[in-house]
Amino acid sequence: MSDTSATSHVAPKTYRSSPLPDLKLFMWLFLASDCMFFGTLIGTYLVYRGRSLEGPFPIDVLDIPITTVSSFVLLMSSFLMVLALHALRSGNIPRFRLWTFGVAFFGAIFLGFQVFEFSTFVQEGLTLNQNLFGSTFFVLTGTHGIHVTIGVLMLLSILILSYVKPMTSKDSLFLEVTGLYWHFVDIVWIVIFTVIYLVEFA
Amino acid sequence: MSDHKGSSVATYTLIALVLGVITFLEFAAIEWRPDWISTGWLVFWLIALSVVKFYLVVAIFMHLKDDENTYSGFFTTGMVLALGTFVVLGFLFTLRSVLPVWANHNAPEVITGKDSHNEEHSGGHGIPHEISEETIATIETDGYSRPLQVILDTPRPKNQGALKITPPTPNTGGFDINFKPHLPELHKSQGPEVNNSSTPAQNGDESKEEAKQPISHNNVANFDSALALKSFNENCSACHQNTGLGLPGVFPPLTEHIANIYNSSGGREYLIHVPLFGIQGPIEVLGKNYNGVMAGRQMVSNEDIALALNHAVTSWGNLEKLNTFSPFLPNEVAKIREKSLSASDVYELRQSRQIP
Repeated sequence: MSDTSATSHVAPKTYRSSPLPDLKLFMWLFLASDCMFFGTLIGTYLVYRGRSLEGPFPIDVLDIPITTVSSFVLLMSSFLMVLALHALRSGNIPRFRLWTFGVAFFGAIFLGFQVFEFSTFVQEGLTLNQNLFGSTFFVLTGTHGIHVTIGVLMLLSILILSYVKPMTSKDSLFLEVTGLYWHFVDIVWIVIFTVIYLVEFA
Repeated sequence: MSDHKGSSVATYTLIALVLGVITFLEFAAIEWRPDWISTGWLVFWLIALSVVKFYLVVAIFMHLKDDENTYSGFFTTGMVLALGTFVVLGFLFTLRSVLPVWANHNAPEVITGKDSHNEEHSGGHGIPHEISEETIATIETDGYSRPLQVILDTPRPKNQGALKITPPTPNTGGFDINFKPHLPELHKSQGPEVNNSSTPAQNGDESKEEAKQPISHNNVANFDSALALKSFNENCSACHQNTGLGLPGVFPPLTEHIANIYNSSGGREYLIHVPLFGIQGPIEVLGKNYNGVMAGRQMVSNEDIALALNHAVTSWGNLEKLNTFSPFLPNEVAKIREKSLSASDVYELRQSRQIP
């Protein structure tokens, strides 16, 4: 089904050297640049790791069981994301709505965990300017949280759109691109979960 | 759109299941950590598992495996640049400790040492007697190379920063073992078993004569005192003050006190426990009572802990009070670190050894 929609979209444009959809190309380019963004933030965290003069230190505040659950929730949201795209491509709109809502909901749960985590840390005395750990940790995980928030908003807007007008192949592309963004946010968390949380307790 | 061939709901479900299982395994490895796995290997496996998760999501969920190569090219470029940024960032912070080693590449080697604790830390990676310059370049640390070590260091033996025996040169990292015959009591102290049997210091009479000579910085200059001071200031002086006097009634003094501990039986080894695991319980120091909690500093590297201890033990007139002195070495700290005690355990140790 995707072939027909691709040709109908691409054919009229005469000066196109690549048959790839612009939006998807743009998203991959953006994700590549986001790689560097997060690479720098994680690198900075590691460079300053263990250099805080005052507590709280990572080992005092990080909570592995809770973070494992939130990591699992985010991973499963990625699973729902592929199901949502699959459903939309198969023309199963109710399923698509269900899964898309599921992704946004799981994303919101993840954010809830993060809000809980941040407020717990602040109660334990870890703030953005308490020590190097606080600065680098909050900037890194906060940036990731903002990414998740944007992802949730994108998903909800697609969901709302599906009630306003009939879904077209263009919307399928938009959902696919949103999915790429969502999975990327997920893999960034995979790295953060290992490097910042798990390795600290190894 | 994309071809997305070969990926069905069943595939997605399977991948999701695998991702879930891997996450649980990671959690289990930390929460119910098996005794037999070393920290290095655990870190290695954790990173390996996360790489698998990363790959599965990118290849299957993001369809990169079956999609246009252009996308893969974009993403790979981004990843390579990110890793490059990452490595360069780490390298910038490591450069200061690595450069002097390169600069001293032609320095004559005196003795090549072999540490008696090597075997048990090496975990199968046997350490040769002759250590190449490259090895030293990577294992000499002054605390600036920790971040990269965490990621890159995992499968290789750790904490061998003190193995090389070279003539004392400035800025070769924190440690430079160059035990000279004029510290004969090294051999009977509880310090590291330094295998320098080829030196002429074994003669008993000679030893006794020389032992009476006052110990000074000149004949024990086998750790970098500037780095030791730096480590102490970074990790200890907030409480114990850079005068070593502490705050009476709140933070015990190190001046005089740490020399007494060092001289006591079992005191030298006990000293390594305190910065690592902290101490909690009522103690009396030089006639004053203290009942606070000192938090352990497990995030500080073995090198820095050894350096800070060396600074405390040799400063503020402490060195003159010592009966004997051999510098703390990173591998000694590593050995104690493996005990993973609590602050209360250290207190019990202090009581049982009747540390002053």
